Amino acid sequence: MDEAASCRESESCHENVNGHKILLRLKSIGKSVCSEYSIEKDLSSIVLSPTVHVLVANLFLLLLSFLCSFTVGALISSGVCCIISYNMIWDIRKGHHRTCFIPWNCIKDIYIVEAISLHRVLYNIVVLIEDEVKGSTSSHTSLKLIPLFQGTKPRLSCLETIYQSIHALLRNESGTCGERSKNMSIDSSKFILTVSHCLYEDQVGKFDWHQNYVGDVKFAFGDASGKRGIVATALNVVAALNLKTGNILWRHVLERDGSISFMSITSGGEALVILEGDKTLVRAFDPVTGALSWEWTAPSSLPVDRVSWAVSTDKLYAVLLNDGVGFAVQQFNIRTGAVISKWQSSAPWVQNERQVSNKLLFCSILYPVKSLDKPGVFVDFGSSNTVKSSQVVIFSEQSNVACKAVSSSAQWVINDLSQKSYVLLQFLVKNDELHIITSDCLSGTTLQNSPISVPWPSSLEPELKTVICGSNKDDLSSCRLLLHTSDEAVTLLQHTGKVLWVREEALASVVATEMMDLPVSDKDAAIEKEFDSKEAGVLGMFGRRLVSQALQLQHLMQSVFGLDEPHQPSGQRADLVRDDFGLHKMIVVATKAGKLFGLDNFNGEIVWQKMILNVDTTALQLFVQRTTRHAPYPAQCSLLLKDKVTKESVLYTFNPITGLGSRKNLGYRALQTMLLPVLDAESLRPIVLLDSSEKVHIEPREAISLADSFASSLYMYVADPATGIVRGYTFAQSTSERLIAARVWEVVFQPESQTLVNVVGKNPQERVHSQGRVLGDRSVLYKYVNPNLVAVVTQGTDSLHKFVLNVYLLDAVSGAIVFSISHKRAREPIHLVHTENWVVYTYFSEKWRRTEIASIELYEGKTQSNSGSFSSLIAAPQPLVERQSYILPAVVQAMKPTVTEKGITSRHVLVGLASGAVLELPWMFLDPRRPVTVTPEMREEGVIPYMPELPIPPESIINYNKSLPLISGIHTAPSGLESTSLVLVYGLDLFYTRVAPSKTFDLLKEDFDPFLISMVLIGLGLASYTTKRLASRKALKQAWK
Amino acid sequence: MGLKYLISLLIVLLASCCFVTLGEKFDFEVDGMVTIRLKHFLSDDGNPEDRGNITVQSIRTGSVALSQAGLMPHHTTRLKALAKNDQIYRLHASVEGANDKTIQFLTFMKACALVRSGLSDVLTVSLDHSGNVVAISASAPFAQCDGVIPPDHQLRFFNTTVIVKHMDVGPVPDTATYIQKIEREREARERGGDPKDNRSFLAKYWMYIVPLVIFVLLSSAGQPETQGQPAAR
Repeated sequence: MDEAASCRESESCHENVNGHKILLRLKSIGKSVCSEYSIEKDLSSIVLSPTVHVLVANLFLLLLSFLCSFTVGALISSGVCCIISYNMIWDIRKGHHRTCFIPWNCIKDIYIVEAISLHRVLYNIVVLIEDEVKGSTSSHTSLKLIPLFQGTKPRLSCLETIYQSIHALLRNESGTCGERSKNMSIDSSKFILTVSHCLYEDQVGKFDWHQNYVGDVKFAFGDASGKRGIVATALNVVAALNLKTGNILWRHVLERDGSISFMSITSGGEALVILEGDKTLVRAFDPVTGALSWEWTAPSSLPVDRVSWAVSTDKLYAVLLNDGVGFAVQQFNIRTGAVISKWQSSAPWVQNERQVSNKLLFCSILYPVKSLDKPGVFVDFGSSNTVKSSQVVIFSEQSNVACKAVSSSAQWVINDLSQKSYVLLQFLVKNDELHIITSDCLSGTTLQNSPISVPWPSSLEPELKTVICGSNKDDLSSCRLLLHTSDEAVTLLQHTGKVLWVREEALASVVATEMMDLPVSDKDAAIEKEFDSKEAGVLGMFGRRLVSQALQLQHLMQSVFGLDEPHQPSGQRADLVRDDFGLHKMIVVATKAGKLFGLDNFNGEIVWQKMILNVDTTALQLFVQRTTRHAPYPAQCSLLLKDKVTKESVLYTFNPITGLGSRKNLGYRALQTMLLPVLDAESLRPIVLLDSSEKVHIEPREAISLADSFASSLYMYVADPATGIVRGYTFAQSTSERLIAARVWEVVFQPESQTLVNVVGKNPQERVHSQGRVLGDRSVLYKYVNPNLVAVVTQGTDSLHKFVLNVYLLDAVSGAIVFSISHKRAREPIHLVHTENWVVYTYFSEKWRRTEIASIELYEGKTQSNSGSFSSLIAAPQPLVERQSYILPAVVQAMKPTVTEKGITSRHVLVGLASGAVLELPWMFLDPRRPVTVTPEMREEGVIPYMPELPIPPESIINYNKSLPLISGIHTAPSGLESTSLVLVYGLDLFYTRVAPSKTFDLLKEDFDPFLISMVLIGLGLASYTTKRLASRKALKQAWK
Repeated sequence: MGLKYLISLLIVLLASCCFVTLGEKFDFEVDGMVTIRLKHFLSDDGNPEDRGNITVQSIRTGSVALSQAGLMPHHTTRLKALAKNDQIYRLHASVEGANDKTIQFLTFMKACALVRSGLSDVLTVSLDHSGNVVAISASAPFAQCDGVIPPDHQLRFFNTTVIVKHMDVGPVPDTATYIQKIEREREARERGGDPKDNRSFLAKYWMYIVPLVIFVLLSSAGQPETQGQPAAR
């Protein structure tokens, strides 16, 4: 069944004896199809004289181009053509149009080499060339390696085929370089053409895009050349940014446990990074290559959480604030980590200012000052204290401490080498403008004549991370400022006030996401409007019809005569309209920083962005209240957040296409939220919220009567991880004025024996197309499809088994536990997927020390109890439960099932792995009914035999060689095509692609040629018509005979 | 005053209800006893009233002792009123925990369903991996509410079935069986080459034989006609 990896070849190949045979082989290695064309022609009659060779070669090229044109969709394809009569090997690369001729007689050997790149092993075929260099004195040979197929990177199996064919040729022609060429000329024509065409590679970037991020920048500096900016972020990433474009030059993701507490440049130009954790690691990276220069572990006696670090020439200083009365300084050798010296120094300013309390001192930020050999520390007290002053403290080797108060919040100090002074940069945001004031640190005089101002939204708080001046340090105007703003964006600002680039690093910490259909174009909206109105007489309808038809005619004429002006409704981009297949969508992304983005799913471009201020994004929820299908009403989404100070809920309602919205402070803390399953008069789904005092609210408030009419069938549940109580509520007692939630069931997971880890419900939008499963004996096993089922995961502790993982399937309406299962010696991380009638979860097995994946499937049995509508209260029979577990040889970071429009397409589970791969795992592999011994009935049913370990074939990694570090979630959305599911993988990077779990059965193949087919059809039609005429004429003639 | 209406305690001892489901059951190291006190709400608001006690004598075997008082006539009226208005019947259960902590559970069912099934209900007691009660949920065998209210004498005593549900043991990747299977296959291969295809000659090559036979039949059927044609002319 795994035909994907195979790369077949015809057996009749390369019998390249002197029989003048042309052998042409074209292989296409795809995800599913492996087709090959093999043309064998005897050209002995043609190949007669050298002049004919030219002819043959030309013919060949013609054939090649012809064949290439047949494989439409091959954006990149490359091939090797060996024409021995011409003594050369040919490396053809279509797409780049790069052709490389290698004289055949100089090829010494051919090898397959392997290279490890990211999580993949790449194989390459290389040709070893012996080149005769004729120098002035003597000729000597030099060896050279030339890699082939660099653009396409075909799989090993294909390479082996190519290798074998070329190697066989080489073996036949053993001899020295010169000798062989002689042999070759006699042995006139041998051709082997192998065109390798890998479907994977030609589709690179066609349906997918990948965006790299580094995360919320904590530290930054510019390297000596002034071309690179080195940053260290809150996500433990160290990266180098190209300062011209803002692109990432290299990036390292450091250990997850611990955090980067310091980064600085060393005198040698390396980036010194200190990673706090169980073990505090001091590492230095080369700024150009990103290679690790050295690494040592800081002594464990050092209380790293209270230490401020500073770097001077070849020493690292750990400055420990000693109970607010002084400093304790330790000096390390920067390369080896050996302690050079230790001393204490008093801090007189701590005594001078009583307001500076002990606590505040620890909260304040200490910046190291770049100084030649004296470590300086810049203390910024900010405005958190009553005294709005800032202090600049510069202390030298022995206990001299100089300090200076500055009027407003200061940002950064530059050591000016030539003037032996310190320059202080201060930022002021006033009237949507950012003012940059440069002053002398000690004297306080302003250095430049007029303050520089940049247009700046007043909501963004800038924070200067570094000043990059390059080699010319004297001139401040050539310096660039790397700013970090409160929306986690990184901005590079020219000192003159020009914004060079902005990186939206908020996208590195996506919390919630939705994919929204785009609205229909104005033209289509007009047609829909025509049929939309309910109240209109016959005449009115007729009139509207005429008007709309006239409009359509007008549009038609405009488009025919090219008068169609790009019409932009309300400042939107013209191309943001729904396409025929519903593939073009708007990705709405909510990030941890409280910033909302609208991304175009075709290229990942940011269409709109919106910063929501003063919010806490923990337990953020994103709702789609109205989709774009309800024209003329615009689509509407809501974001439920918490206020940063009061922790009360905030509802931000916005249009997902334009990003325009409004914020509403709700004034209570929402415990649970739910979208009403019905639409109101404006096609909007109201949100029902339950607050902490068990009062029910509804947004918008007008929908209360609508909610009341459905109240008897509305239930809600709340899970409290602290007490372990899961509680169910009914709304049956509601009145048309007030919604009332009454407790109806309570389930207690006692915190003494287990803790709630996760509660996973089903996607309310999902559809289950097939109600059952046809068995081998043609009977139907009906699925237990309970939409109210939630999976509750608890991690239990046990004296004997230490870790116990429990999964309960709970009916959220009736409060009944439908099924519960317990795994001994299994623990977190637990990822769970719950759709249709199955639950799949991964956990770490303590006993075997490996990741296992378990699947549970629920069936009603051979009869269906309630086929019409499902009710949890009508006691359903206990479902039959199938269960199985497998070994997954990887560490799982996220899991999500694919989802399609109607649920006809089979489901695959997308698994984000710690290696950076996203694995597309067919449900068939996880099927708990996979039998160890296959019976013929099972075979007929199409169940794969059981294998304890699940394979991770490279073909089913949907992000091929684009590794995605720190995957935090996967979002899937249906497209207009039933076969296709859209996927957004988020984490440190964003990766978007589409998957077709059952292959693109509703799409024509890319190489489908409608022109050819219509020509053939017309030809056949004509032929049949003419033959009919001819036949009738013949019949007539015969009749006359 | 209610003493003469009070119906003597009905003690029903039910044998254990061990339920056959797939997979092996969780085995507890220590057997325990669970006492559940039941109270029920006979109106949407108001205080619960005592219904009785359930004692799970052994959580391992699931044997249960029930002691429930019957319903007094005014309670029956209230229950019927609940059923008539399609309201819910809530049941409050409290379980004495391990360290003298009382754990409260709540469950409900449609009042009409309880009345329709003549006060016979099913209580499911779900246990976790260490034998603690996680959930107690009530349901009635006749869940459909068709408005039929049985006569009062059927609404006097609760006929409760208690199901004690253990957790199932999670599956473990079955490497041993698989390796055995592979071994067996390997041995079979070493012994006699390919696994024996002991189908008969006909079963194996029927797809070649059938067209051949048809062809022969057709050609032989066509022969006399072609031969006969000149004769007919």
